[in-house]
Amino acid sequence: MIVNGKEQTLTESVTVSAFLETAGYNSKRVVVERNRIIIPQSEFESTWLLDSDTLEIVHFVGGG
Amino acid sequence: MNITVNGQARSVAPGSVTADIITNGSDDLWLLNGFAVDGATPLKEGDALLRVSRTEAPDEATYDAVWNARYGKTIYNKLKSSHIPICGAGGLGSHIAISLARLGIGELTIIDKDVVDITNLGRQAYEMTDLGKPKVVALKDILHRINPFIKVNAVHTTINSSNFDNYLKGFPYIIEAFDSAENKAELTSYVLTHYPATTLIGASGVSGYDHPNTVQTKELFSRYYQTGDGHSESTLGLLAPRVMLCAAHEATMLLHLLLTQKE
Repeated sequence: MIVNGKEQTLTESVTVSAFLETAGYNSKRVVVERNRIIIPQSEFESTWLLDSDTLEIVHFVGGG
Repeated sequence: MNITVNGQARSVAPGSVTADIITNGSDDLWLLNGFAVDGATPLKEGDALLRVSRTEAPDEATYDAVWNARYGKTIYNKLKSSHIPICGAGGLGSHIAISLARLGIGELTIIDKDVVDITNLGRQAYEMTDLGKPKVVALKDILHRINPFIKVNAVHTTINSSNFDNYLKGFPYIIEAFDSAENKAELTSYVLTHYPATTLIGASGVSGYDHPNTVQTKELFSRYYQTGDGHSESTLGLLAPRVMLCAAHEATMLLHLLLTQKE
């Protein structure tokens, strides 16, 4: 799998929610694009990732 | 040689100068193609000469004529015919709205749930006399003092995925100017997955006092531009210059897209 341009190995398929939690992201503060398609926040629990996926994760910080 | 004077066509002799037209000795301000002139400037074919009061507010036609002359009709018409929603009226949103009002954008819909308090005055466009007012109401007054002809829809409410469609559906451009990271992520996700014809301009990492050149605007996804440094959290302190810099980035990104994108 490629995450934000870096290659890593996904040993077993996991949901987007589980992946984000393991990677240390707050799932309410990110936008996730998988293979060039944005995953709606409401589908993080039901979307399973594969080792062949390319992810772009944008993490937001507060202030404005 | 043909010119216009306050929009009316007038034929003048070749070699005429502005002093040949400006003969009344009044205290009015004369603008040649949108810029102040003295009496001896040579005129050329197609010039637009405008006489405006130095002290009285103009009517809308005169206001439009000033900017048509300065920017050209194509650019000003594009700005005037645009309706831009701004989500959040804090440090980013208030300054973005002011930029857009000065540009002559025709209509803004500004959505924010807060009222002005003392801590806002360190970076937001509000003034001491605005304390206790809904931000969108105070901002509408500020904008109308700058440009009385902009239409402002001031929406004092909370927006989220349950009601984005009531306010944001169908616009070519939306400005994200929220404070909270969760609100930013929710709006960005929603717009990119629900509005395939909309471009979103937002911000993340607008705090602190790092070098100004660390603020950048990047196209992170198709139809999504983000300004900021991407990492400086509000715990670093939200300080006027950097927040205003990021607001200017967002407004400039919008302006660039409005004037360069094919419809």
